[in-house]
Amino acid sequence: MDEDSSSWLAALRGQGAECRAAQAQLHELLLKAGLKEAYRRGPGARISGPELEDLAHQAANDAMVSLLHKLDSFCGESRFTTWAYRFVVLEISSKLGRHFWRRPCIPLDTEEWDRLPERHGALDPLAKAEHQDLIAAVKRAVDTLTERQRLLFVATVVNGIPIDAMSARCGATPGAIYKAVFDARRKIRAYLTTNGYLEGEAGMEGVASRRVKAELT
Amino acid sequence: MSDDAPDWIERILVTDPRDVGCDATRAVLHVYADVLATGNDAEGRYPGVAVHLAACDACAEDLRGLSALIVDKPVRVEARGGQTDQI
Repeated sequence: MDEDSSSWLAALRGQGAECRAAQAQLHELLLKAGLKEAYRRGPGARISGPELEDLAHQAANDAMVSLLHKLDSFCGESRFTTWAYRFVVLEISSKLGRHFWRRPCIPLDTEEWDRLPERHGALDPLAKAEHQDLIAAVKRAVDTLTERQRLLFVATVVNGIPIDAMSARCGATPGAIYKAVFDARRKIRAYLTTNGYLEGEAGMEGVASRRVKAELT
Repeated sequence: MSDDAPDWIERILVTDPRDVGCDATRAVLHVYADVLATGNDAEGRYPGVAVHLAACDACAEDLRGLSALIVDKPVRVEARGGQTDQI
């Protein structure tokens, strides 16, 4: 463990004035980091001004509590400050995910299928018509998913809702949301492969089926 | 039209079995960021995390934020009065 990290640990595990001073210094560090990260991500999340600063303060406070609870788990794999910043960054993500639902007109009950290619990088408008058969096939594949998989795939992939926002909405971890969508992707690929829209072996991973059948061309 | 699958369909269906997922990635994000910051081979040390970061916008954004913090890159902010400031 590097010297700075050892010093942080010793001070935070200390007693009395030394510990209080270290905690104050740590909170200052977390708040500075929280403000930086909040301002970096604020424009994309359409949040600014006092509301953004409040979010940064809350993130720093919550990060401080989490960090102190987990202090004994720090084993020096990274610098202490990097470990500490991670708490703030994850708190900011979580809070921005919750904030997402305060926006008007969140498209959870609509499905933006026509925008699917464009949302995922298909920039040629002339190719739009050529994608329609494939979009229709993906929609049929989505109908074979479980209700939860369908909801999460449509929300995150079709409508572009961030995973952290769906995590806040569903009360599940981002990892659980990602896993459900991951499983949905595999099922959809298998369906498209089985039904002749993609070449490759049904159930194979992304690298295995790179081409569409000639009937779509 | 080429019979290559459109890139967008590959993007929405990519599932790499090495992908460790969000929880495992976020658990080591600080180590990954420090390894990157020191110019070492983070991808080689954590291949499953690297695969995940390439597929998950949320975790990639967290890594960008963490990396910006540890290199202490100033972030320009707009103060309430319309002035700009740096944190």
